[in-house]
Amino acid sequence: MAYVLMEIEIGKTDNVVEHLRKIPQATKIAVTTGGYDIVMLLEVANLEELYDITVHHIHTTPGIKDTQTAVVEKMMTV
Amino acid sequence: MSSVNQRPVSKRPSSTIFYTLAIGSGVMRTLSVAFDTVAINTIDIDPIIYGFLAQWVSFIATVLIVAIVSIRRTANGRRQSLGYNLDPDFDRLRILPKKPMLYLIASGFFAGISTLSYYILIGSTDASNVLPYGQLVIIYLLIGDLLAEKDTPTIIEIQSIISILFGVLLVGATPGGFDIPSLLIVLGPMNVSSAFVTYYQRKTKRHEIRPGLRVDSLNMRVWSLLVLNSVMSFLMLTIMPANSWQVMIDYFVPLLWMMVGSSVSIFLALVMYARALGKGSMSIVNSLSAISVVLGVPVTLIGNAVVPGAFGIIESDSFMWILTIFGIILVMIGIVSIQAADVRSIVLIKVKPLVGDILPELFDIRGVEKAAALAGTQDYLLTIKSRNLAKTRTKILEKIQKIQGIDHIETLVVIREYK
Repeated sequence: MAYVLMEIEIGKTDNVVEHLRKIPQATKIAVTTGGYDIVMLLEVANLEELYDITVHHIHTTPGIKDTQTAVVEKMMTV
Repeated sequence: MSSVNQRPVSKRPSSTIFYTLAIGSGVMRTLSVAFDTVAINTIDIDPIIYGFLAQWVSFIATVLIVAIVSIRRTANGRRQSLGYNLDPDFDRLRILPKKPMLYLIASGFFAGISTLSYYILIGSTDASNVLPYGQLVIIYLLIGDLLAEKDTPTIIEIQSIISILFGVLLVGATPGGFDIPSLLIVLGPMNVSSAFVTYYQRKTKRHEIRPGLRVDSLNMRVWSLLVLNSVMSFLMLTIMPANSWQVMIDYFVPLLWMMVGSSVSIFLALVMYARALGKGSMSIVNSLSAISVVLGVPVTLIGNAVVPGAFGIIESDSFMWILTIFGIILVMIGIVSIQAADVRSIVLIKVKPLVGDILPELFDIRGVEKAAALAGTQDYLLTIKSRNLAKTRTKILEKIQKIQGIDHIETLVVIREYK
């Protein structure tokens, strides 16, 4: 599981969200205010799959300025 | 953990499954009440005696179902129980550790009082009234939250409380005035106890048995039902007529299919609710499953058209039906507005060097729905929910700031969410 925090070019948020929604491993996409514009939760089986999504989906999506990927080490949820 | 069970964003069928589960949970709840109403009205039996019998049949049915889903099979190279698909935290039917068991005993105790109130009410009314009555618990939960946090209510909270309260009062109106005994039961033992049930069930569900493993909803149902039945039976024994045992023996067979129908539908309602929660937010699930409030009317009317008198006494005065429908609309508005008002935020946290694991401490803060420890620049990410932004700051962020060792906090407010 990993969170991808993204900074988006002005006016491109909707286009980027539409691209990201096509990623089957994306279980949650939040459009946010603050230091990042989009936060996406990915549920991947291994780091290879994460690499594949990062390189082939996120890096090829027009409108994404910068990303930061945070791998989840442990998660607690209600 | 339930989080691994979430659906991918882009697959349309998943959203269909989510809505089916959430609405299905409400439909099943309505069906359960309908089975009880039909049983009491078609076979002339004291609702208390029926309740006693139905609850113990429900317990046996639940234990059997949970025992069956405890059977293990190999899926994707892993040995899993059949119940894993119902709740990923489920392993097998088991006695829970001491602390969650104590929470369940408390929950079962209050559920016993609430269930007894339900059986007293079901004898004098129908599904279209009982289902909205049950929603009054939301008011007590809101007031409980406000008192616990010494907080002032928001406009939405006040609007929701008034809307639900007035809705319930309208539903409880009769041609001769308000049905005072019923309303006293609804305002008192039925919903005050339900609020405590929710409180203790939340505490049980948040309890971690071991890292990454929480108390599952199936074992929770079995053990809380055992305590519920014991408490309810103890209270019922004092008010049951002398010939109750003979009545139970005489009517057991004719009532069996309706009791099994009621037990299975309430079990499915709980499972569907838990599964829907794993796929979407609690606010949407609660709003959708509240359809049970509306369904009581068509079920009562259509049911009585098919089997006259089986679904309760139909009020012939059309004005009273208009009042009931107004009441139901007010209850629905109250539920949906309080659920839709939630503000979600994502909080990114960096800690100072040499700080130990603060993940459990962060997760224990009220309002934190999800807490993740991360590898990378940020150390923790929290998903939080509150009624408005001011409460996000005063009730959640200020508590996070008090934790020792936190270096930097960044809050991202969610303005749109896709699941």
